[in-house]
Amino acid sequence: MSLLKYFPFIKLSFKNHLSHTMRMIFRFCGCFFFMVVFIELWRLIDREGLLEIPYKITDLAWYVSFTQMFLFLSPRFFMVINEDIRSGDIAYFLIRPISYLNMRLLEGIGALSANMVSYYSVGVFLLWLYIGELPSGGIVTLITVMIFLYLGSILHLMFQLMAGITAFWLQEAEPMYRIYQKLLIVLGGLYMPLTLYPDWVEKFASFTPFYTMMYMPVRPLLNEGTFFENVIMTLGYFCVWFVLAFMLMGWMYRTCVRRLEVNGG
Amino acid sequence: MSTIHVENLSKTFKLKKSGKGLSGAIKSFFSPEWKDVHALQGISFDIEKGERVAFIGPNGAGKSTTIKLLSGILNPSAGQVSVNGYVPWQEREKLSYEIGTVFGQRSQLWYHLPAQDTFDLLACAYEIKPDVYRARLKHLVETFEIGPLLEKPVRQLSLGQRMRCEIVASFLHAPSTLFLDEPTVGLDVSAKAMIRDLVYDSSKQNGTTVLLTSHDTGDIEKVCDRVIIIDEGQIIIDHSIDKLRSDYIRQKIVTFQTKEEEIQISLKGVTEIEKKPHKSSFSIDVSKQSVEALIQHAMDQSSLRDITVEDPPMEEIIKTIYKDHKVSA
Repeated sequence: MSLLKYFPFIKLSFKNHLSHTMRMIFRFCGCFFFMVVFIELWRLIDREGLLEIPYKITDLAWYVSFTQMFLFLSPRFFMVINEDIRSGDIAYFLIRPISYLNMRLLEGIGALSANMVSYYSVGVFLLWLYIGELPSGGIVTLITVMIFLYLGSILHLMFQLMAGITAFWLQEAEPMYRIYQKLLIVLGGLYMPLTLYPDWVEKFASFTPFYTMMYMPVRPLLNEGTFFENVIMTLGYFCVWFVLAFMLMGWMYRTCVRRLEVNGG
Repeated sequence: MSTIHVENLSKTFKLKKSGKGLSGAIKSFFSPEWKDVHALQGISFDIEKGERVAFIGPNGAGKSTTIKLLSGILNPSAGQVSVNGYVPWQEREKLSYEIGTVFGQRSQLWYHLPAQDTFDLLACAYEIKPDVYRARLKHLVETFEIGPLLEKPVRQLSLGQRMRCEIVASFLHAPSTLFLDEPTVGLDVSAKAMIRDLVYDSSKQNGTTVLLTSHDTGDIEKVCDRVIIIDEGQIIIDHSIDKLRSDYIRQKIVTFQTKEEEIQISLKGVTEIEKKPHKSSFSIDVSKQSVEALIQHAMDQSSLRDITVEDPPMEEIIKTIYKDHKVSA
């Protein structure tokens, strides 16, 4: 099957997402608001000496801003799958010469890319103005982080897709996604770097996809770790998790299609 | 070899029984009970290339389930199916290039985007060569008169406009077999007529095989030349439209225009159904009275200016069949 035929789905979804201007602006403003809240929170902690912070406060500000950005970059993709399953529309995609999973994933990437345009340009520029300086690693680190965050967001989409598929069993994907999101917040280091957690939490997190999709991409902003740790290891972790996610996604989908065939369209 | 071959096709769904009241709900939660619903019970038929077949029956008869099985959406519980030489649920992808589907209650168009974008996307999905796609789309746009609609977001189209776009989307890859599940549901008279004509003409010109389900007898009369009637998952009639008419028309409508203001007819099996000055219509039960006898009787009583003899509408025929077979429509 030609993979090229899936690329128009990215293009169409990109276009579709951009056509909802107000939604994008509102989401962007919401994201920037939370970035500011967390930057100020860490500035306060630093100013009051409430916690010993082993990082430069501006680097930490970039870190918490980018973890927030990660959450807002990806569309709420599990809802699309959830709706397809609940309405029965998923059955009607089976009779098209395309894979439902590939189609939806690439649509998600299209929407993600549309968000990326504004977050990576206006968002980063506004952050630079607000924080007052670039991260210690400089522009190269910033670009590296942005590339890895994009990859992490794709991995996040794949896990959202799997959370969506659970609607086959649970009738509603929201509860599963809520659990997934809470784990992401804790084990992905959303509010603070994992190095500030107890060692065992960081160790445990490193075996989960949340560590790879969120913490590893933004970690270079803290100006710690070697090139090997920040780039080569991150790429290695991505390879492993992408393969595992593809396999898991495929298995879940095949199981669900069998279930669909039994229960009807 | 038939384009569509169906042999002893059965489909059984398992449905969870819901308990009555709170205690029933709790019991059902811990110990669910299931019941079998036999949507199809061993149906068999063949459809040849270029045939246009109506698949009709009351709600829940198994029409849509049959279409879903033939298009590959569902797996059967038993039986064999071949569509264009493929087993639908095993060779979905190969079959998808050869069939077109329209489900009246579902949309294959992207809701927020113009129909043109969906067409472009489908052209890629079906791997249609760009020059072939352009020529085919141009032809379809002209035929279905959707030129002004192409750039409008689908959400802004009326139901009739959307259905025309849906059918264009189904025709884009030039399918040799069309499955239409209630394609005219909810449409106004002119939109229905347009869609019927377009499906009929396309089938005539390209030899497309059509299997259509509908509750609207107009769809059957205008598009199809054969009818399969299904009830409770079993086929009760499989005839050509002509045979259906000759077998089931027990009444005819005879209208007289007379010089006299009115005529009185009292014959067995004849009922007056409309009376206007100089014009009277009668329904005649042909099993009890011949049309010739009625005309002769009318001629004896008055000076006739004009006579019209009509078959009852298809709807009446279907009603008769349902009544004969005790179908709960």
